[in-house]
Amino acid sequence: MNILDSSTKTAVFICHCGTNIGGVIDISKIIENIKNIPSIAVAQDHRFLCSTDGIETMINSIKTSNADRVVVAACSFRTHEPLFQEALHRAGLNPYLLELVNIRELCSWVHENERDRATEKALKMIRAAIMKIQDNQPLKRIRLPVTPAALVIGGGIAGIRAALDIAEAGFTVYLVEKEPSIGGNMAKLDKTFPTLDCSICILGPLMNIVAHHPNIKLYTYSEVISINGRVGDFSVKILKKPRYVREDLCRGCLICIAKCPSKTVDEFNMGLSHRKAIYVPFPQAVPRIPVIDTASCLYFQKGICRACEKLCPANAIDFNQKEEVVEIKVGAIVVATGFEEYNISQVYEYSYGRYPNIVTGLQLERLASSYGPTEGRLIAPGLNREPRRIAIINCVGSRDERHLPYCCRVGCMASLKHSWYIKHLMPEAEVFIFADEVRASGKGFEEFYRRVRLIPGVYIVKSKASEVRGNPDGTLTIKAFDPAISSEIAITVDLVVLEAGIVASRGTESIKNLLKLGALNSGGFLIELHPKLNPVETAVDGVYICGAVSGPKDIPDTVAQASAAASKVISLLSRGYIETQPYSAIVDESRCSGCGVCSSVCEYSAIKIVKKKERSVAVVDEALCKGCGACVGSCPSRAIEIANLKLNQIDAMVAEILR
Amino acid sequence: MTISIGIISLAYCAGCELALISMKRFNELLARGAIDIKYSTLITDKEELEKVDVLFITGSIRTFEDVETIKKAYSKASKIIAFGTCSCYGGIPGLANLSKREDIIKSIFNDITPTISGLPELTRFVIPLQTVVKVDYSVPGCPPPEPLIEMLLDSLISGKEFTLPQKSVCEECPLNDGDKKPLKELRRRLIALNDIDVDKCFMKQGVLCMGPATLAGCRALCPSRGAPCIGCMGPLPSSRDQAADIIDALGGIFYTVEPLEKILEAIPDPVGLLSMFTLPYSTIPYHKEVGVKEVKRDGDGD
Amino acid sequence: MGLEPRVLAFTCTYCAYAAAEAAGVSKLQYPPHIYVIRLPCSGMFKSYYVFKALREGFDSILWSGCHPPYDCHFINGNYKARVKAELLKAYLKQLGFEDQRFRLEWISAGEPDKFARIAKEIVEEAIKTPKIIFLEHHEAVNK
Repeated sequence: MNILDSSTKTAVFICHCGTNIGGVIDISKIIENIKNIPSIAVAQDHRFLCSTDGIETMINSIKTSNADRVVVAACSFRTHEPLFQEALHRAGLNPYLLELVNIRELCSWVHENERDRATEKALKMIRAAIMKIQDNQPLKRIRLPVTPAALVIGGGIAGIRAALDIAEAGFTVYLVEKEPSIGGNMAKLDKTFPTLDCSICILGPLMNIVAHHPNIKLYTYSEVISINGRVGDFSVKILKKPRYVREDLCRGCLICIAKCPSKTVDEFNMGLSHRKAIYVPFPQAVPRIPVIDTASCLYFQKGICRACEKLCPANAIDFNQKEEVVEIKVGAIVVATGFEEYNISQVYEYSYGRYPNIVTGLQLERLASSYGPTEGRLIAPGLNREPRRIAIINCVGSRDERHLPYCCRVGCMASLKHSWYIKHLMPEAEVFIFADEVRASGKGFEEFYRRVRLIPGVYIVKSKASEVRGNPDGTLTIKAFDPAISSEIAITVDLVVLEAGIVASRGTESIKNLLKLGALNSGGFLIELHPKLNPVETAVDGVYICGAVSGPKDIPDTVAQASAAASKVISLLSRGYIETQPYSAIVDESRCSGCGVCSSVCEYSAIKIVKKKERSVAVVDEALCKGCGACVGSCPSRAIEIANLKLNQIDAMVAEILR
Repeated sequence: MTISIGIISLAYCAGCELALISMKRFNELLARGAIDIKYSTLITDKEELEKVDVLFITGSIRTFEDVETIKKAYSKASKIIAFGTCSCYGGIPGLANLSKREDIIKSIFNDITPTISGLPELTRFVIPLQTVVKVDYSVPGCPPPEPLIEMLLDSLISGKEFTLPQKSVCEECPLNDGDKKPLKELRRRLIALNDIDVDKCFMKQGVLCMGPATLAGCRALCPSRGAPCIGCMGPLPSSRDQAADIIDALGGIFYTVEPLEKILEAIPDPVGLLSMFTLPYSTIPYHKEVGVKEVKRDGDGD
Repeated sequence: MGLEPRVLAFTCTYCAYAAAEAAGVSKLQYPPHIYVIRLPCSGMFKSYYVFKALREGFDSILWSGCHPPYDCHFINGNYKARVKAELLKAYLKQLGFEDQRFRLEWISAGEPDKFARIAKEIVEEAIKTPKIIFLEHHEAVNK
C-alpha cells in the first residue's frame, strides 16, 4: 500500500483556523512537502475551512481535481466531521472517504512554543492520514425500519406512567406485570410524602386508564421470558401464567373468594394477614380478576373442594387452564421493574423476624392502610393492641458497609410520614425516631420535616440505634448512644418500625441477563448510559430504564424518569427508522478458524459462528455491530477487521510517523 | 525420476529427521526409488554433500559453523526446505535468546575460558533459517506432523506448489465448539492438567491452549489426545507474532479474572510459554541485553 | 533528529482521546514527541503494536482507555485491554525492557490534565534513557 504506487487521488485541505493553527504551524511548508507526493490530487490551505467559503472551495477543488478521497487537517472530528462529510457528499464522494486530522487540539494548541517541532509533527500526522486513507472503502449506513410498538416491563407507577405516555402518542404498548395486578409498591402505601395524598386515590385512576386504553395491551400475572433482536426490531416472548379463571367470563363478583375454605399468607400485606387460595391482591386491583394460587388451593393440592367452580355464577373457573406463551414484536423496551425492601433479617442487631412487633416501613404502610390487615387501625402485630410507644429506626441496612453502602433516598421522609400516621391515628402515642441524620432535600420536604418534628410526642434521637431486644412481656427495648447527652439510652416500646434499605426487585436480575444490561453490584440496580446526561438510556440501544430500577428514588423522580423514557421511545418510534453505524466488523473467511473468541467477546451479540461448507466461520450482523473493535482486539488470527480501520492501515500510519 | 534429497542438521535434536524417515509413505517412496537420500549425517556415510534436488535443513542457527554449513550447502540444491520449527522459527533452542552467549558459555563451562578447541563460536543470538538463505518451502512442526509431511511429499513428487494451511488449530480441533465465553479463572497449566476434562475445549476450562494462535496442519494432534496445544507449529501466515496473537485471545477470554495478579500467577514464564517455539521469529526476538544497542541522546535532548 | 524520543499513544475515542482534545482546548502544553492514534475502544488495542512500535523505533508506548468499572462506552473493552497489558508488561520485563516503555493509563474525558501530565512524563522519561536500536537478524552473524 505504498502511496507512491497507488492509483488513488487524494485531496488534502489544511485549515489555518485563523491563527489557531496557522500561528504555530508553518502550513506552507507542509503544503510544499505534500504537493510532491505523486498520488496527491490537490493540496490546499484555507483560513477557515468550515466557513461557507471554505466548504465551497473544498467542493470545487475536489471536483476539478477528480480526487476520490479527502484528508482534512483541521480540528476535532467531534464537532466538524459531519460538516466535512456533508461536503464530500455534495462533491459526489462517499462521506466515509474522509480522514479528519486534528492538528489543532492535538498539535498547535498544545505545542505553542515549539513551532518547528509542531510543524514537523503536523506534517507527520497529515502524511499518516494520507497513508491510512489509501485503503478506505466507501461505507453505507443501513436504514432499518422500527416496529411502532413498545414493551414496558413492570406495572408500578413508573411502568404505568411510561405506558400511558407512549400510548397517548399513538403507539401500541405491551405492559407486562408479574403480579396479578398492576400498581407495584405505590399501591401498598397508605399516603405519599410530603403532601400526604392517599396513595391509591391518585394511583387508582391511572391504573384504570391503563386497563381501558385502546393502545395498551395489559398482561398481568405474566413474565417476559425471552428477548431477541435489536433496537427497532425486538422479538419478545411473554409467558402468561394461568389464573385458572377465565378473563373473558369473570364478572368480578368475588363470590369465589368469599367461599374459599383455604387460607395462606397474604403477600400484598407483607405477611401480616392471610388471604384465600383464590384471591385478588387488593380491592382496587387492575384487572380485578381473581387468581388461584395452586400451592394453597385444595383442589390442586388434594383434588378436593372446587367450591369456587361450583359457586361461580359466570362459570369462569377453569382448572385446566394452561400457561400461554405470547410472541410480540416491538421497537423499544422500557424496564420499570422497581424495588423491594432489603432483607433486613440480615441486620441481626435489630432482631427483625424474631418478634412480630418489629415491622418494616412498608409493613407499617399496610397496617395504616384502610384496606390493610387491620383496616387502618394501628394494631401492633403480636401484642394485638394499639402501641403506646413506637420506635422508628432509620437506615436499616443502608449506609452500612456490611450491607448496602448507599442511602435509600426515601427512608427519612418515610419515617416522618410514619410518625405522622402514628400521631394521626393515636394522638397520645409517643414516637421516637432514631436517625443520625435527617435528609429532607426535595420539594416540600424540609417543611414537612419541620411540621412533623413540631408535633408533640415525636422525638428525634440523632443517633443510629445499636440494637433491638425483645422482652418477656412482648415489649421491645432499643439501645442507642445519644450524642446530645453523651450517654447510652434505652427505650422500651411496643412497636418498632425499621426503615429498610432498598434494592432492585428480584426480577431485575433475569431481565438484566435477557437484555445484557450492566448492573451495580450492591443493590442490583441497572446502569444508565451516563449518570448525568443519559439517565434513562442504557448501553443497549432501544432499551430504556426508569424509576427505582436504576436507583432508589421517590415518586416524583420516578414519574419524571418514566415520562423521560417514554419520550425517548416516542422519538424513536415516530422517526420510524434507525440507521446503523457504518464501521462494521468484517470477517476474512479465508483466515477465520471459527475459534469463537470474537463471538464470545462481543457485548452486542453481533457475531455468530456459523457452519459454511463444513467449516465454521464467524459471521457479523451489521445491524447489531457497534464497531467497537473488541473482536478485532481479541482475534488471534487477524481474521476480523473494522471497516476503514484495518490493521494494515494502522501499520501505514505507524510507519509514516517513524519515517 | 528419482528425487534426490539431502538433509542438513544444524542445532537439532533429530526429531525432524526421525519423523521423516519413520513415515510409512516416506519409506514406500524410498523403497520404490521415487526418492533417494543422498546426504545426511544421521543416516548416510557420505562425507560431503553433492548436488541434490531438495535440501532439507533442520535445526536452528546457533553457531557460526551452522552458518558456514548452510553457505556451503545451499548452492548444491534446487529447492531449500526449512524443515521443522527450529529451522522455520528458531524453535526451542531459540529460547537461548534470553541470555547473552557469554553467560551461556559461563553457565555450562564455569571458569574454563570459552576457547575450548572444537567448540564453534556462538552467533550473537539464534536466528531462523530464512535470515541466511532463501527458503523455498517452510514446513513447521516439532516435529512436522505426518499430514503436513504428506502434503510436502505430494508436492515434491507431483511438482505442484506446497502451501501451508491458512487456519489455526481450532479449525481442526474436535474440542472446538465455536464458543469461548469469558471465564473468571485462568489456571496454571501444569496443575490444571491433573483434573482437566479431555473432552472439552481447554480454554473453556481456564487452561491456556495455544491452538487459536497456532498454525493448523497437525489435525489438532495434542488437543485431541488430552493435551493443550503448546504452539509447536508456529504462527499463522497472517500473523506477525504468535505471542501477541495469543495474548489478544487471552484478553478476550480472561478479562473478568480478579484480581489481575492471578493472570500472571497462571503464566509465570510468559516468554517461555507464549514464544516457546518462535522467539527468534518474534517481533522482539531476544532479551534487551542480547540484541539491543543503546545510543546516548545528544546533550540536552534536542 | 533521529535521537529525539518518539512516543506512540493509542487512545480510545470516548475517554482518552476526548481527554487529549480537551487538553488542547485548555491549552495545556506538553512535548510534541507523542503521537496519538485513535481507536473506537481500548478493547481493540492489539498486542502486536506494542512489540512492533518498540522494535521500529518508538521509545515507549501508551495505551489509554476509560476507567473501570463503568466508564467504557462499549461496556468493558477496558477490561480486555487491562489483561493484555498485564501480560505484555510481564513479557517485556522478562525480555529485559524497562517498565516505562509500555504504560497503561485510565484517562477519562474529564481528565485533560491527566492526559497532558502523562504525555509530559512519558516523553521526559524517554529523553532520560538512551535510545535503543534493535539488531537485525543478519547482525547475529556479524563477527
